Amino acid sequence: MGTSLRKGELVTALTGMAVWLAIVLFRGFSLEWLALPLAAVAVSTLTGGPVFIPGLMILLCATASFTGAATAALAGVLSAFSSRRISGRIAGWLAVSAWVLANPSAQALPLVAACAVAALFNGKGTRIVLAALCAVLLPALGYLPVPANEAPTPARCFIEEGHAWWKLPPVTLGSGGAVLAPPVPEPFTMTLELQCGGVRDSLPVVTVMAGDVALSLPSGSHTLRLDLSPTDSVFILPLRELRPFTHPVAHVWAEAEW
Amino acid sequence: MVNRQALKVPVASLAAGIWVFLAWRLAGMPDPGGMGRLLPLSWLLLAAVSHGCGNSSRIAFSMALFSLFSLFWRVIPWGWQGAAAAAVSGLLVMGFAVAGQRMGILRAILPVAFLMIATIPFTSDEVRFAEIASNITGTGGFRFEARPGDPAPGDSHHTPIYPLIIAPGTFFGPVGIRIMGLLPLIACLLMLRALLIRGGTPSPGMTTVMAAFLMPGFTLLGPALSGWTAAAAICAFALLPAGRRGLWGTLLLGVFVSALKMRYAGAAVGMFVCWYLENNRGYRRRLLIPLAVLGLAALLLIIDRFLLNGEVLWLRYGNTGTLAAIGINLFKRPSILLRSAFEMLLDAEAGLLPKAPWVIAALVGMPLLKKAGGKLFGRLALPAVFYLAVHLVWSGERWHGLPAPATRVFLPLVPLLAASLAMVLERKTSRLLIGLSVGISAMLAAVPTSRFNLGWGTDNLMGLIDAASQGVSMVRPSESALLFWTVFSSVAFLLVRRDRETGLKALLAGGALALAIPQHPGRMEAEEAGPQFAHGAMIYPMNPDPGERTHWFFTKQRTLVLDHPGQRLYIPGGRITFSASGEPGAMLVIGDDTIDAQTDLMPLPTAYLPLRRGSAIPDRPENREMREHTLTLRGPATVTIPEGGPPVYFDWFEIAPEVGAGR
Repeated sequence: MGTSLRKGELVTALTGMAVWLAIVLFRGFSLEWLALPLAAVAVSTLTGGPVFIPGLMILLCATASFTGAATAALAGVLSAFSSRRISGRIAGWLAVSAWVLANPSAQALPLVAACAVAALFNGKGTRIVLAALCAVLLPALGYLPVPANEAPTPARCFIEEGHAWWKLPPVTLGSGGAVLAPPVPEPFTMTLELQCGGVRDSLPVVTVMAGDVALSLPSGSHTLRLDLSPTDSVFILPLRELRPFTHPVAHVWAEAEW
Repeated sequence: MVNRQALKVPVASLAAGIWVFLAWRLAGMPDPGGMGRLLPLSWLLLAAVSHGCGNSSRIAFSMALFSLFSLFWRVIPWGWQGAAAAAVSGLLVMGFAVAGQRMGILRAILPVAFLMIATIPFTSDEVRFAEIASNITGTGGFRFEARPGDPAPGDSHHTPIYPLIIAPGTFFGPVGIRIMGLLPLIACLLMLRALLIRGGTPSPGMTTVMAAFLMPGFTLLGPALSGWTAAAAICAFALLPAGRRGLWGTLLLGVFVSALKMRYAGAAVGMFVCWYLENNRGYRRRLLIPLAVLGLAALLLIIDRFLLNGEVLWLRYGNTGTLAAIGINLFKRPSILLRSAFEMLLDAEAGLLPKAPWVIAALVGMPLLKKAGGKLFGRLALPAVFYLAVHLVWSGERWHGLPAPATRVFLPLVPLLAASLAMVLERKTSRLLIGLSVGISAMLAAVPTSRFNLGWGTDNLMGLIDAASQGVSMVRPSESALLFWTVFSSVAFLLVRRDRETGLKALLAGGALALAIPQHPGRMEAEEAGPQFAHGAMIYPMNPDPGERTHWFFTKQRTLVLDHPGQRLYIPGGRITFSASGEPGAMLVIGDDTIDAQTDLMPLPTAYLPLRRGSAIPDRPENREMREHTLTLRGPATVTIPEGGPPVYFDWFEIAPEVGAGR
């Protein structure tokens, strides 16, 4: 039957565990990191040289807590659907489950359920059909994992004499928006240029909130000049949820004078 | 009668293209008009050219990975780039399979080259070549500013040889130039395949395309840069007949590569040395080689000076300071030169091995290529080795030429590396390294700007996946990191040599572990401080182009600077150590206290004395010594400079919380 782990597989599994232990040592215990050793065991049962790469990627991604754990969960899904051994498929399912337990999300539950079902089927054809159905239906019905932490990210500010500007990544579905802290402890005028798009209707894409002002902006280019007090932060928050065939995004340039 | 087997891959590729297009939109991933269209189009191109390839299982694997990343893209910061990379990896792997078919080289590079032409920014030397080419054809559609190394305003330090090749493309704009830039690449690959067939390689087409796609990350497949032309010239040299008939070809190719770009003069010397060794027996005659080389160089310089008015060589490199720089690199700073040689291999931003681990397998294959007999090894190795050595000695620490993709520097090595890889291609360990290289190449394709590193100290790709340790960095030198990765690469070499797959897997996993654990736990590079630590603080120099830091004596690293009282650093309580410098009178206000932050100017390194008038060093921030300060704070505090005070520059912070300790 050949169910025992081969030497190479054992090495991959053991290294995954070693990385996990190292992370526990350096960062402390966290539930979501349980996904890592489970995913390493699951990936180790996949055969073929190129398949080693996902395993390596899991280890590489052990560098950042959220990214690393999510990548481990992703490898868990891969194993749950594609491993020839039931032990590998169940380990993969457990990896996804550990991650979802640590980052509770109702939208991720259908995926966990699909992994559990796939883990129980020995037939390759059945698993392929199940994977294809998941790949189409889950995005189409909006059942996709979403980030647990949706707080807006502070933007990096640069200050010169009487002038400041911010470096902002685009506000997309995957981000919780951006917050711009007041540059100086005195009244200032902020100029915001926003290019919103990626949608097929005229409904708002983002909201800009600052002091007493709240503006919802639809698709298109917008220039805002806001007179703000020293305590006013500016929030740029995405308004759209995932819908197929929409890619909401806002590119933002911000500067201030006082 | 329809051959169903032959249609399997085209149909699977077509399905993959449609699926990538649909899934991208179902998942709502960013850039639907860019990557969301270009990737499906590349798959459709693959469908059009992949008739007759049998195995479609790798397409399924690539699509499974793509689908997973599409599902998870919102929870992984690089999720949608990961999805794009998964799709590209399928294109690459199927390209290898197509390469073994009839007209395989052309068919294999078409989908990938399309993707490269469409995604890589039109920049670097490419723009200057375009300007010269447009002047040649009279279209005049390109105008760019003067660049470092130009002899005079309006006069480029580039020769018109390469622009002549791409000149017809100027009628069709940047895309036309890019397409013309593919011609030297195709010529190189066709000749390389001919060489491999001559050497009896089992899979010449696949090996050729592999080396091209994975060198490193097929960065330069499409952009009009001269590297592939130089590689083609080396292949042409390897195909030359032996004896005196080959001499004329050698001389012609030598002059051609030198005129192509002065960087390749070393390859010309290597060609001549190779011809000389092949056609002259006995030590006495061989001792004449250095004299012959010097004579040839002198002849070239004389011809250029008196017949061509110095337009090819003297005008650009007649500066005696260049010769002085070579002397300094060789005799005054040999340790730095040696270090640069290691960094060529290992640097995370610009080095060869981190982006192309398959080169380790190629290095293992080199002795086998030599042992296999014939003249192929010498004809490929000598021009490549001489080229690299001359380039390093000439340019010293500037060997990489960042922010242009450092890959271009290594292109003349492609023929040698491909021929060497062919000797060990069937080994499992080689396949493992090739698989890893495919993953890295695919990520480079998915993030086009990641090819343009800025000598920041953090590689763009490593930064994207948020790696805790950055490996070897020439900008932030660390002896321990250099030693570790040198030993790591050497062990990998030995494992491939013995074809120990399990050992190599364990080693690679160990390498990943090393990247996962920070080299200095708790330390943060000041210039990379996020908004939770730095508010309003600037970066010195603000321009990220590493060219700005080329002539810095002591460090090439950017720093964080506080030069305005509104700028603040937020520090949590506990024990904090930081490294900072400042002009006379520089002070830092930390909470209610102030500390003296001024530091002294460092003396000019003696190695540079011949280049400067006097020993005075300019009073610039990068020439002041950095000093470490350690404080223990009761709670959170802000760091600023006093009103009107001189700026203070920070290198790094190290924070070890000790809540409750008093200052």
